[in-house]
Amino acid sequence: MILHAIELTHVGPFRDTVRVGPFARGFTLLEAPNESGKSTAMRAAARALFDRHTTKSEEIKSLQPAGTDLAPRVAVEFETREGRFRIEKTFLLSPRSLLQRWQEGRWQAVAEADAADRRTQELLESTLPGRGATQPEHWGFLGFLWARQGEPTDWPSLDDPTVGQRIRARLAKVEIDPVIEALRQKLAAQADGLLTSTGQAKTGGALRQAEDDLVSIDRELATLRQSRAELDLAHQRFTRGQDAVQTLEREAADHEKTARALGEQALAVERLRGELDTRRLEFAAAREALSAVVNALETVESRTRELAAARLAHGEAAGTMQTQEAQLVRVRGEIDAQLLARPAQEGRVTNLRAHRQRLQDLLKLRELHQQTIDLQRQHATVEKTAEEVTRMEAALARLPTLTPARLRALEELAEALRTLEAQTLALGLTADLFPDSPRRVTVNDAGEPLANPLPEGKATRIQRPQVLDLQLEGWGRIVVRSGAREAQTVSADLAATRARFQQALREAEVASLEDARAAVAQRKELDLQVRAVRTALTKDLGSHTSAAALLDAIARSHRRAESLASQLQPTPEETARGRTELESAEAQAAEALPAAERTLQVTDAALQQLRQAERGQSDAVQQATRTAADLSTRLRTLESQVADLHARFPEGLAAAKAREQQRFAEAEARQLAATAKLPPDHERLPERNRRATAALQQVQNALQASRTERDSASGKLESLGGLGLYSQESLLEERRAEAVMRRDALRGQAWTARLAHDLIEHRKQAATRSVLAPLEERLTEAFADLTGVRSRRVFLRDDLQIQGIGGTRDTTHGFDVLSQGAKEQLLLCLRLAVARELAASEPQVLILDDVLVNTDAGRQRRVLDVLADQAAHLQIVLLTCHAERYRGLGETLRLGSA
Amino acid sequence: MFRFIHSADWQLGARFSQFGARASQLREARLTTLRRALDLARQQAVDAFLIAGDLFEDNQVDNALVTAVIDLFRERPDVPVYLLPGNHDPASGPDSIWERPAFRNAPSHVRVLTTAQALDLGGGVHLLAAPLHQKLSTLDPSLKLRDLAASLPSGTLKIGLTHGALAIEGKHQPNDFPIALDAASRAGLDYLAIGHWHSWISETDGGRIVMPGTPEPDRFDHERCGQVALVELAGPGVPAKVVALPVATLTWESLSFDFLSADASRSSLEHAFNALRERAATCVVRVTLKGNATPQGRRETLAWLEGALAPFFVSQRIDRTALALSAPELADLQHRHPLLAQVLNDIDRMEVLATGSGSVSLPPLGEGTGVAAVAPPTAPLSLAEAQRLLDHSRTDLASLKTEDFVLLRQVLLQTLQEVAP
Repeated sequence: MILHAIELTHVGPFRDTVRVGPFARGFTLLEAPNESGKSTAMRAAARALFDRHTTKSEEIKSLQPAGTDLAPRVAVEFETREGRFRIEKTFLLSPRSLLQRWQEGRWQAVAEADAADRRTQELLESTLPGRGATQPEHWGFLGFLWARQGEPTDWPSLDDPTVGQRIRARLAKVEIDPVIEALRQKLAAQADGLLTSTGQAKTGGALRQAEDDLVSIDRELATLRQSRAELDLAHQRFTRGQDAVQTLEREAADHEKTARALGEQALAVERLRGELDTRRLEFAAAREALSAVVNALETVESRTRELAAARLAHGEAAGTMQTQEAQLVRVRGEIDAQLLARPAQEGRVTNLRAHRQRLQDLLKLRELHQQTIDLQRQHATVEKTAEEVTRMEAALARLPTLTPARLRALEELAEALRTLEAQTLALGLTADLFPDSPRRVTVNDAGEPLANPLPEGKATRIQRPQVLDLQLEGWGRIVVRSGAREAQTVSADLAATRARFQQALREAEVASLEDARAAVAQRKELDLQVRAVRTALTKDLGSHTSAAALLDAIARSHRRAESLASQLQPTPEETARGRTELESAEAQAAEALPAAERTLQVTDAALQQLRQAERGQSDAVQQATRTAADLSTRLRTLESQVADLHARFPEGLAAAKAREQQRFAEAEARQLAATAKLPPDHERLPERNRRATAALQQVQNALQASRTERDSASGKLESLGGLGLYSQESLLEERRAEAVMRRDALRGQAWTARLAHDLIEHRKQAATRSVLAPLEERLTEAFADLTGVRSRRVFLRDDLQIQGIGGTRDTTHGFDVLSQGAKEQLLLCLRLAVARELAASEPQVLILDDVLVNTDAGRQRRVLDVLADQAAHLQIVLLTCHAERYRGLGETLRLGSA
Repeated sequence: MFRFIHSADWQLGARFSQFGARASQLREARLTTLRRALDLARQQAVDAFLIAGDLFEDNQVDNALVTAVIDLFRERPDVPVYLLPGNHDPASGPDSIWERPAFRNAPSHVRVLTTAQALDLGGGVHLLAAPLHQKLSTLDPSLKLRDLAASLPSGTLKIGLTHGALAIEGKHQPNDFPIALDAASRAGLDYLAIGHWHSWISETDGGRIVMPGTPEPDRFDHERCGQVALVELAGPGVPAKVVALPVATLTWESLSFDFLSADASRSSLEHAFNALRERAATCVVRVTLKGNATPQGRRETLAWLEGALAPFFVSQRIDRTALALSAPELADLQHRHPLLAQVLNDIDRMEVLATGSGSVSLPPLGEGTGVAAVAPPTAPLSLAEAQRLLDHSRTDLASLKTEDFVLLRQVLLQTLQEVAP
């Protein structure tokens, strides 16, 4: 196909109709500045040639003028080996398509709408995607021959079965066998319908469906077989359970028989044991009766002996009782004598104690009075010292609050001031005025005023840092200026330092530095004195913390003395007695009191002893009385018991004893006879019986468990047995057999089709490889023409893609790592080669959209040479914004309105 | 005179996986046969209908089948039925088919003999049953019959009923319930009705032991089946009169078509089909195709067979043909499509690599074909190349067999024929 013209309406920047063309049969340069619509025009032409007119894809919408809903309309006039055609398509709004053919000097309609699209597709040997806009791989040969802007180094795959394969065949000079190609395509379709490219079953394909069916059936079968396995397991459980039940039932019957026999034996023994028990009871009763008679006989003899002894003891007890009563009367007389003497001794002790206590209280009162007087004296001393402290602290408070640190700061400021003043003197202006007569001189500045008038004949010095502005009385104004800048700085520092110094003095509340130093010394002295007086005050206070505490102590001492005096109310004689006299009287009282107390204690001790003797004697009398009474009672009891025993056996004790002895012998004989009837191991029978019962119970428990297990298995079997698992499995097995056959058939079909296809492809590639060298030769030569470098070869891969350039195949620089310029030029060579091959049977257009942007000027010239040569065989359309590079080559077109 | 039908090995519910979805039709046919046998028993006014084991293929067949069988019995109350559990349907416990509600509630004329017992059938006739309770055993089940018979008065007619393999040396498995070949005389039985094998055997123990075979064939290679035995016992000690009554619903026919003599094969098959035409609706047919076929010949034959097999109850086609081209055809193919010739050579090469030997699709170039070689000489396929090519379909070269390469050539050449103008 070659292009003749393009017509655009409502496309990109072209809101009006624009006609691009006519394109020359050889070389056409389509020239326009950047963003003027060159590429858009070609892109729109591709849409008109290859897309469905009804497409509403983003690629079509992007053709609309920006911000409008206008329907793009594109017409392309082109020529194939079948003739010259014009396809016109309107997209998006009221889409339409019209294919015309140039016949008899005018355009004649060939087809409309979808038919026009299909016919154009046939003419251009292009294809359509399933949906949406076409891509370059759908554009037939133009997909390879159109180097698009920004994609000059992209080269489509040659694997496409229609166009790519044909290009490969043409490049490799291999004739395509249409039957084999059809065979290859059919095999590919068969394989691709069933397998993925990696040989797996294709999703949605019949093989995958068969495999899925098989998996599903196998899953169902597995579930079913699980149920069958459960059934088999349940069957085994049932069989085991059934066997166990039968075994245990036999065992239980045996145990039951044994238990029953033992039970009967035990019953018989029980009856014999009952009889034996009866005989034993009879024997015990006879023995008891005999024992009772023997005991009674012994008791009578014993009680008779006891009665004689008791009568003798009763006589002795009565004598003892009379002796004890006489002694008790004597002790009571002695107690009465002691009680009469005791009150006089007790009165003397009490009087001595009261006298001594009063003497002690009088001494205490004297002591309290003396203590009060001492405290009052101490308080007077403390008062005096405290006043001294107060006075000194007031003096201290009056001193300026100047610390040694602040004094040091003041001294440093004074030193700085002196230094600055010295500097000012050295650097600034100094005027010594010696007036002849007293004169008034005014310094015109803010400095310290002069003490006018100046005395005559005496120097008055005026110093200023830079300007000395003087108003001399009777003379006028004199202004003296200094050029020294340092003096000004020093002066400013001086003024500032002076101000800080004055401020520091004010804050320290002193007039001068000397005052400050004096104040600091005075404060130090006063501090020392205050500390000394305070130490003396502490000493005067003694154990008291303050003067107020001392006053409290005085008051307390006074109150105690008052209280004691009011309590004692001393007589005038007592008040008149001296302290020594009082102390002597108290000592005498202290000596007399212990003697009186000892006398009283001796009396009390004797009294206590007598009372104890009285209680002992009284107890002895009572004991003798009770013993006599007890013996009397015992005598009566024994007499009564002997009488009772004789009364119980009227026939006489000896006769009763003989009778009971006879009965005892008879009972003993009967018991021995009953014992002889019992079997020898009757003692073990209960244990044996218990064991047999326990064993039977155990077997019955085991039997019950086995029956439960068997019945459980039986239930499971009944429920599973009715499910018809075999029938279900049969149906699944039959379905599975079908699915396996279907899968195997499809798999066979798939792999054989894939392998047959791959073998054909393998042989085609082998054929391609056989002609690879000549093709590489042609491309190497073309690339050398283009680049001027003849030492490099171009190498192709088996699929006719460029492998790279270099000296040998193993040392090539791969296409991907080549420079953009080299890639552009290599692909230009390949495109030219392809276009030349295709042009042999049909005219072809090669569209180069700004593809040589990375080509230098030297190679550019060679490119022009090559393009000029190829233009004799091909239609070449080159889009550029640099027309000057292509001057003199073919026709030049500029975009313009129709 | 005591007359009865003796049958066995009905195998109702049997699986026919090789027939896929058509298997249910084969199962249905076995019920039809049972119905026919029962009707025959009614016509013959027999005293009993004995089934000597394996009425069912498995204890786990579905209830619908069990109900259908019981219904068949129920509809014929005048035919007393005696059922013996066999090794396929043993009385093995609660999961046994005989414990299904349908059998527990079966009509009174249907007796399931799940325990060894001697039944007094009246008129001095005793039926002695030794059922099976498991699938395998090395014990002779007829030994129980001897014990049972010993307890019966002499002078009565004793019919034994059990299931197992005749203990013929080299013909039975030791655990297949071996029945002594003199089991009937040993037990003093007048007739021993057994079942297990699917072919008719009636000469054992002086004709007193009879194995009637399956009443409905289930394989192409079964002989002497499709019958039940009509037995007449005149009295104790009198030899039984046994007549085979055909009852089968379906016939199974295995035919073949050999492309070596295609015309003769077709003629023979047509003759066979004509012979079967009248009973096509009850005939299971299998046709095996073999030999080397041309694509055209194979295609035509398959098309013909499709129509010819359509009337049959069930048909099965087994294709074991290899696609073959004549030497001139191959030479022409080689000439017109050199690349295809290379591909066929590659397939030959792969077959050799995979199997160690192989057929040759094409004669050597120019030899005996009268056609000059046109394809450029190419290097033979290497092992690595062969496996690489197979990787695309995830196929392992070592796993391929001769028939796979036959299929491969077949697919290639058939597809070629489809796309060739």
